[in-house]
Amino acid sequence: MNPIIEINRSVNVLASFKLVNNQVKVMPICMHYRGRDIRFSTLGLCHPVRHGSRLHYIFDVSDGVNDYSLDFNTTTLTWTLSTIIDGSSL
Amino acid sequence: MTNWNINPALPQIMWVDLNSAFATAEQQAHPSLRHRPVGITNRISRECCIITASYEAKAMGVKTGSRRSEAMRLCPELILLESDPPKYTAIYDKLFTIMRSYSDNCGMKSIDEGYINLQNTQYNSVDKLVNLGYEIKQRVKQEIGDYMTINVGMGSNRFLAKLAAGLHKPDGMDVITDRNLTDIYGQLNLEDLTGIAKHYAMRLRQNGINTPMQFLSASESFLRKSVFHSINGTYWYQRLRGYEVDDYHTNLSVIGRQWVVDQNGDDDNYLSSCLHYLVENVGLKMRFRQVAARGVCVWAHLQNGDRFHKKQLVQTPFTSNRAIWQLAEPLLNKRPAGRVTCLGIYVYNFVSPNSDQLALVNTLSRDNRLTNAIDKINSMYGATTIHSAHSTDGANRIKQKVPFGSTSYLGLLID
Repeated sequence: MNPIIEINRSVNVLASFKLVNNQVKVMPICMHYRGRDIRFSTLGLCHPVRHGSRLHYIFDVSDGVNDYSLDFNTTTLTWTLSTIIDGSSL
Repeated sequence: MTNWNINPALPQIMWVDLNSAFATAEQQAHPSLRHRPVGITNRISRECCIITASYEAKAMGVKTGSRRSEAMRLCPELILLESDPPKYTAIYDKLFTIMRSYSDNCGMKSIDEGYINLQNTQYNSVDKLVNLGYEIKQRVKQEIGDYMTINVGMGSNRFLAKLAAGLHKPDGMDVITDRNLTDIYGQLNLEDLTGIAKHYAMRLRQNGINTPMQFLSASESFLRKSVFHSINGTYWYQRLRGYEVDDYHTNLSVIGRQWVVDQNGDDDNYLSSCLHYLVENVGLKMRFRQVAARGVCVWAHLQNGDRFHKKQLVQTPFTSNRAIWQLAEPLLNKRPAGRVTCLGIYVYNFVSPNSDQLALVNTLSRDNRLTNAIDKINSMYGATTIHSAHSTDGANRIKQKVPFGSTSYLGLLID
């Protein structure tokens, strides 16, 4: 019914930061999670979330099967894996 | 040929409407949900209400407003998700940025639709307007997401533009001009017209008006004197012909918040805490709008069908949460016995917060300084970092909700 699995674990992410039209475009490339590297193929959406004055960006990405929500804390420059949707279970 | 006195102006009002906005936004964010029936609800519970259904779910009969049990019966494979307001706010911002790049005279009428007034711009022919419609559709895919679709409608006023935007969903585009207006009215029912819901349709039918064409045929004086009994009749006469009557600003009259009580509707302490949290929300909205109020109203719906509504107007304007709560708590305590199913509060009778009356009263000034300090801390560390201990149960339970209608507080809701 609700396929979203809450994770909320700190993860290591390899991301590219590119300057496009004077704007920094960030794209998570892969993530190390539970002993394996997960490579992302699609960026679904990226949106900001404010917690007071702290700015986070939520990256909704997919590896082609599962969807992952990654939370990038722009203050600490750390990544948190917020949720997973197990695409194979749908 | 009948002279309908239709506005011959170019259809330079463009209406842009995101299709099944919240459901499509989730499908955009999560590719595994694409082409699947998705329903969005504010809070998943046993009998929660669907606020948006994807087109796949709509095809199975799931509608906005469907209860969970009904939706699951119609569509057992429905994927139910809780709403994510910051995500929708980001899409709103991107859509508005696209729209504003064509005309400064544009506005969002809700979180997922808005208008662009293209009068006095380079888009001065139907061909140019249609090309612009396709361009905006393309930009939405490029700048928001490739799964996002919009409906575009064009007309000589907002009413016709919105009507055009609703003719072919999803991903449609229609233009209503003085040439095709009667053809389009001829294909519609009264309830298909924006602003004509059950009661207005009933009133029109009672006066022998059963179709949009009959509505168009009615004289201005008949609509004003016999149907609407007010200036609304004149407005409808003009609106139907493509003359703009909806380009006005309304004054702020109330600021409020309501909450569908999910549990413990007969627990005084729980209800009191929930109302206190609603008070803190209303206080924040009021200070965001930079107004002070003089009146408070607390209302409730009870399970036995009773409606409770109690107001109090005071001499001295107030802006602080504490001042609102001091007025609201006694009002809540006057409600009749019974299980509460919906609880709400609004403040009204606004004045400028800098009026002399406020500054003259030392205790109020102290209260306002404390409120300002708390607001500053909350803006730094998050909206509910400091709140009354008494509102904790409410803060833990009441979720931020998707703002339908007014988008005045989107800036607050991100926090």
